[in-house]
Amino acid sequence: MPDTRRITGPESSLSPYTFSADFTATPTQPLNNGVRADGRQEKQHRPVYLQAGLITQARGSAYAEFNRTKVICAVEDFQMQGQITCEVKFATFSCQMRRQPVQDNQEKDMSTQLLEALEPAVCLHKFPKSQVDVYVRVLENDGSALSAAITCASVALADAGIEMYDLVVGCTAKLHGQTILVDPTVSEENAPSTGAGKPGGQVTLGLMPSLHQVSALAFHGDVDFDVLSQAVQTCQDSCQKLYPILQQTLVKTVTERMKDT
Amino acid sequence: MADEFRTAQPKEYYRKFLEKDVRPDNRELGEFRPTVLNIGSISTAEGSALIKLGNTTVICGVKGELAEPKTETPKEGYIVPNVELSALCSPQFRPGPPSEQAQVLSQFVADVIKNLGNWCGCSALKNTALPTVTVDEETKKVETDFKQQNMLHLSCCPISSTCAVFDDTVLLVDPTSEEQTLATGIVTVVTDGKNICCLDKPGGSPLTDSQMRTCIERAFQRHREACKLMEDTLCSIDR
Repeated sequence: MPDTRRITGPESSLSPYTFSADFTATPTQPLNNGVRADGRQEKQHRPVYLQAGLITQARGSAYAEFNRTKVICAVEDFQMQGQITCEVKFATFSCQMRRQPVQDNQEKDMSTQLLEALEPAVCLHKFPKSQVDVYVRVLENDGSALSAAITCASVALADAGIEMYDLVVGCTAKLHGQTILVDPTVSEENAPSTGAGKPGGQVTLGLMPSLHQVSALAFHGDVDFDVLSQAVQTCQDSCQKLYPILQQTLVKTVTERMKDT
Repeated sequence: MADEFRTAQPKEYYRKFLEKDVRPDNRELGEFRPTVLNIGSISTAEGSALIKLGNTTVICGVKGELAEPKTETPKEGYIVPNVELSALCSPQFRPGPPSEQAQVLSQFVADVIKNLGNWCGCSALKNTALPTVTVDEETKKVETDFKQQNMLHLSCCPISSTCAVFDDTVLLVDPTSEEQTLATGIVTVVTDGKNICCLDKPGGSPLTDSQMRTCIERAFQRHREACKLMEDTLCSIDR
């Protein structure tokens, strides 16, 4: 059925990237002398930038940047039944291939995973009559969008003044055989892990750092149990390292707000 | 105390300020909010721009794709502008399919771009609370060669500016969303520096000839300011 509420383009169109040589290139090794394609170490997270309270119209908001991965989140609450809802959406221009304006299956899946990661942290029993809506928009996807969304959403919830047991920090790791790549970029995510007959997969962890509890753990792929538990441990360490950034961001926002009033 | 007065009697609150020719956010009646422009911040898009007018932020990304032209217009491409008013921006907007307001805005942007003549792309963005236009794009003409990038040629550069009419008499340039809800009429003028590209006045209080003239003059003045800002920004980035 044609979409009458949007301006529609031609019936079929092709992305120019399908003609590009990189598109069909053979996968390269994940590590080159222990260094990744972007010059990082195996377990090194990309630089993180966080800002809270930037959307003045929303109850709470946050913006997260993992180098080129950019995510923005807003939180609203309504007088309704006590529940929390999440909506993750990629901007149409956020990936190399144009994305459709309607929510697709991957986005629905991410919304559920985000909800499951946040739910254990929010004290919902304190809000019996309100519905908390979390809207996440991925502005640019350069890998680890889900973990960026989790981190960003928990900061936005805290910014909205919603009571929580702890913040939730997200971290993704890509597994190539025995190799664990923390915070993969989009090209690392898409690299076929079974290319050289090696098992591999991807794990996303949501951690509540001060309680030291895992709120979400999503894995797909095929690896040794030992490798997986090692990867989970690596992600936990990485989350713990990110935690102070979240705290500082919130303290900074609160201090600025107090100065204004 | 002032906050309570503002919530209970917003119109009276504004009148008190407007008597002294000033607005609650310290602006003069004909003054635009501080504008920040950032070009090319999204690397996955072929072209992108972010504009901040006070607390209103609009981000625009351009994706290019290959498609067969229509049989009736074999030498023309397509341009598909869509304005999204996401639930992120304001509690007024609900998630789901585009609201009527979003559809109207998409069509408005489409009209502005189409009227520029031939196949050209110009990202004219207009947000609910405000008018903004930014330009920056790039296309790939050669299918296989990505190293050779062609900048998109624009025949002109339309800039829009909005005026709100308060109490049928006072003109407020670049209204905030609060001012827009209190306004009795809205006028949007899009100019390319020489001509008027588009003029939108959907009903509202009738305006005199001189008031209309003021709106248009302010729009031309805004065009010069915005072009300067755009040039400065384009110079500061290297493509």
